[in-house]
Amino acid sequence: MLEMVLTTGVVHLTIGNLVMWLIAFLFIYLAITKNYEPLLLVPIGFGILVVNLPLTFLMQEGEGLLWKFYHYGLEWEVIPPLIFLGLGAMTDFGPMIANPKTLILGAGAQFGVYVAFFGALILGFQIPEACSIGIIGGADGPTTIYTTVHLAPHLLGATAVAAYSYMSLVPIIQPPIMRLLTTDKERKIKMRQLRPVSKKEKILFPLVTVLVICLIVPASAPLMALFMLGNLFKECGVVKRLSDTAANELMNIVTILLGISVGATMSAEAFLRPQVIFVFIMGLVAFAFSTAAGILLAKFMNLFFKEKVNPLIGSAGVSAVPMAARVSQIMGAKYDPKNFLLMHAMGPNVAGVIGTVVAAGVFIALAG
Amino acid sequence: MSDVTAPMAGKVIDVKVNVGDTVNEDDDLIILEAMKMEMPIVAPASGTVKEIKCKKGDSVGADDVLVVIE
Amino acid sequence: MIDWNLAVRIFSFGLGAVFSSLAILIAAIYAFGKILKSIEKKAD
Repeated sequence: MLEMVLTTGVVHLTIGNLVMWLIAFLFIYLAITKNYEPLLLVPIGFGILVVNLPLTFLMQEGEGLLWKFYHYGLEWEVIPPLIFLGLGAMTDFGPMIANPKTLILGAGAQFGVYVAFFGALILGFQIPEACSIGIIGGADGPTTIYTTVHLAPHLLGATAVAAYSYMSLVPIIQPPIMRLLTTDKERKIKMRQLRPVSKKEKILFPLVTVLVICLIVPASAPLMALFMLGNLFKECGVVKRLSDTAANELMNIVTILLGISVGATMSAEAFLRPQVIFVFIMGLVAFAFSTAAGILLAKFMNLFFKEKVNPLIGSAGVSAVPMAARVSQIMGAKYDPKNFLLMHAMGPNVAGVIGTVVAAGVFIALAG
Repeated sequence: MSDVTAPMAGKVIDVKVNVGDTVNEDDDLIILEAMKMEMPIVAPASGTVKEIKCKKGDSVGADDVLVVIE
Repeated sequence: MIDWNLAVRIFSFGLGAVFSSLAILIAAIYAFGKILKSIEKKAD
């Protein structure tokens, strides 16, 4: 009788397991009732739940099912680049090509990455760990995961969840910073409507970009190459089937594997450590500084350019696509309902993705 | 007389006014959806709606005339 | 011990790479835009 009881998971449960269950339920609850990143939080939450069931050995090295997903999907670096393939097939770079100087705002908004990087070092993290924490400030889930798996896999659960949760909190984090750093007059700056972009330009863009970025930062190639391949599928117009598959079915498949793998890294032993709290604090710092840096850079640009940039689109350099661009639109319309910033904000927004991938490439090349 | 144009390509998901309506500046005329976001297109000035050039469900391009106000 | 030299190098290389690659990309976009325009003009 006793032997039988011992083969069940019940007697092996720890307090830590129960705490992780609560976190899992919280994620699933937030996804369902608040619609916070449901496509990720549902599988992540479920992954957390099942990996905290004793004796299931789902994350047992070499044997567990979820370990296999994690190992072949994330450690082998297959999943994040495939997500980028899908993102590329969904992203319209038109607004950025129409007004290329807004690209530089996407670079400015990477500043928070380095603030958090130094912050994490001061808090006692090692350099590879600090890189993984800093990259949260890029507000890009797959890049955060890619970097962390490379440099500090033991922090994966924390950095991934921090990145995705702050991304869904962008509409709450950014507006106060945007109000603080802009004047009423600046918020009402109207920008000239973007010129139409020709099909040829849109086709050339992924080809030129992959050459430029991968030559400068070769370590960014896996993400950048597939990002641009996806975009070429979308824009070239002759492989609609591939483009649709990359953006829909394949994207959905890898999202399932990504979510459950990330959740599976969050066992009680791995996740319930004081370090994780610091990861979340630094992640928030990174987001705040990235937002501020984007806005300040836009104001700085206005000192030189005759055609003024509305600084509210600077915050969209944080690459949470398209949440950050939507926040720019909402803030702009609040101060002048006739002002439409959405398309102008998409430029820095997608440039932010490229900027974050470059920053990650440098981290991996130097700290790996 | 002034034309109200679409600030970006998108889909008309609601038309809030009828021909002949009197509108004030900043009143909602059209609700446009782009990038999965709903945005009101407002009246540039007070006046009367003279013509509505789009209907619910239409896809419009940037700069297309949506409403004419007199 | 933290290697602050490496940390500073990561920071300066990183931010430098981000700005320079996006700046070059801006130049490239302007350049191919111009080239396409001139080709189209010739075709007309």
